[in-house]
Amino acid sequence: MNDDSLETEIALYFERLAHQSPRFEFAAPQAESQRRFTAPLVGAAAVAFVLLAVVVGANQLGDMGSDAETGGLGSSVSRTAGPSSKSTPTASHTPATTAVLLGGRWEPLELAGRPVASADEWDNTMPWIAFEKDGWFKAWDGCNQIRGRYSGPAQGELRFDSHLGKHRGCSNFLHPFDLTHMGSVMEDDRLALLDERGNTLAVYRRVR
Amino acid sequence: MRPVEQSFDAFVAARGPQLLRLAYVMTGEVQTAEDITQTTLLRMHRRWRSIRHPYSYARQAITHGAIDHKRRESREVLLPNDAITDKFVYSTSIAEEPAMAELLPDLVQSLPTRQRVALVLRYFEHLDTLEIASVMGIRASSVRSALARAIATLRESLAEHRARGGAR
Repeated sequence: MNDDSLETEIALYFERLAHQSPRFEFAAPQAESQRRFTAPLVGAAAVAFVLLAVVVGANQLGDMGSDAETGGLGSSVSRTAGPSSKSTPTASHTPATTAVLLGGRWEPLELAGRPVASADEWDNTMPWIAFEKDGWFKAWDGCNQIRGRYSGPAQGELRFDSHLGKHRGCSNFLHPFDLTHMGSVMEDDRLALLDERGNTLAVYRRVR
Repeated sequence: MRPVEQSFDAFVAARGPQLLRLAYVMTGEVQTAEDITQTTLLRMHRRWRSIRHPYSYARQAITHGAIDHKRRESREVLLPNDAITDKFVYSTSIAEEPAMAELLPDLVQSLPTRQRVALVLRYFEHLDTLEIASVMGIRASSVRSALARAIATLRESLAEHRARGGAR
């Protein structure tokens, strides 16, 4: 066999291999120019946003109680953060600052109404979100690394403007960034993500 | 040079599949290829405004990602290449020599990482020696050497297979 035919076979092999390549299924962020003009709380189906408020009432904090580990905040949140509170935080909600989100990671306690298994059971693949002060967030959903931008909080609102990450199937996790019209409330070191009706989608706890 | 306002998502849509294929051809592993591609795109996302030649940047990052991954893997797995070679050399029970196309996958995958990556850049990306040297961050003479050794190894392996009775 001469080198030419071998080189041809090598090229053909690479072409065949390329055709077996997995499908490209990455979530691409919105364009910078689009993002710049996206009005908060308006349309923008690709833009997930979070209404963030800090509940400071002692009674509400008490509601969390010891059952927060299995979704106690979720039930509290559902009562205190209905649809009407998403656009105008009530007097019992203090708009959060970015500083509230910073520091440590957020791990899920409850996803889609179900308690999340302990970290040990996740075998070091426990999902998390971490907010950085320069407007970036990092996340791990147990299967995929995600990175993107968030803005706010302003007037209690936090928006996930864009993100990039693989969408490899990860049955145990809800991609909060894929959802639209979410709200959230925050109590101490608990963060709940809500749907547009105020139902709890996920509850996170801060892990230092 | 890309337009300043060319969007990152447009680049991902246009070039993403191509980059994933490149990573897959270099590594031969789905998950590794996805991880390398994602790491590359995430890094580019953050530095997007300062990247003047996105595809060149991405190709170089994926190349180094593939080499680094194999380097890490080689510290974790004992002699995977030897295992593949042994399996091939002593597979004398094959009744007929498989077509070269069937032999090449194992042979190419058993090449040292740098040689395999150089082959991909030459025969898949169709780069010349200087371009390969730039992408891999090595000298042109090293590229020529890597390519020559890779071709020689493949040719010798195929000849050896014939000598062991693989040829009809």
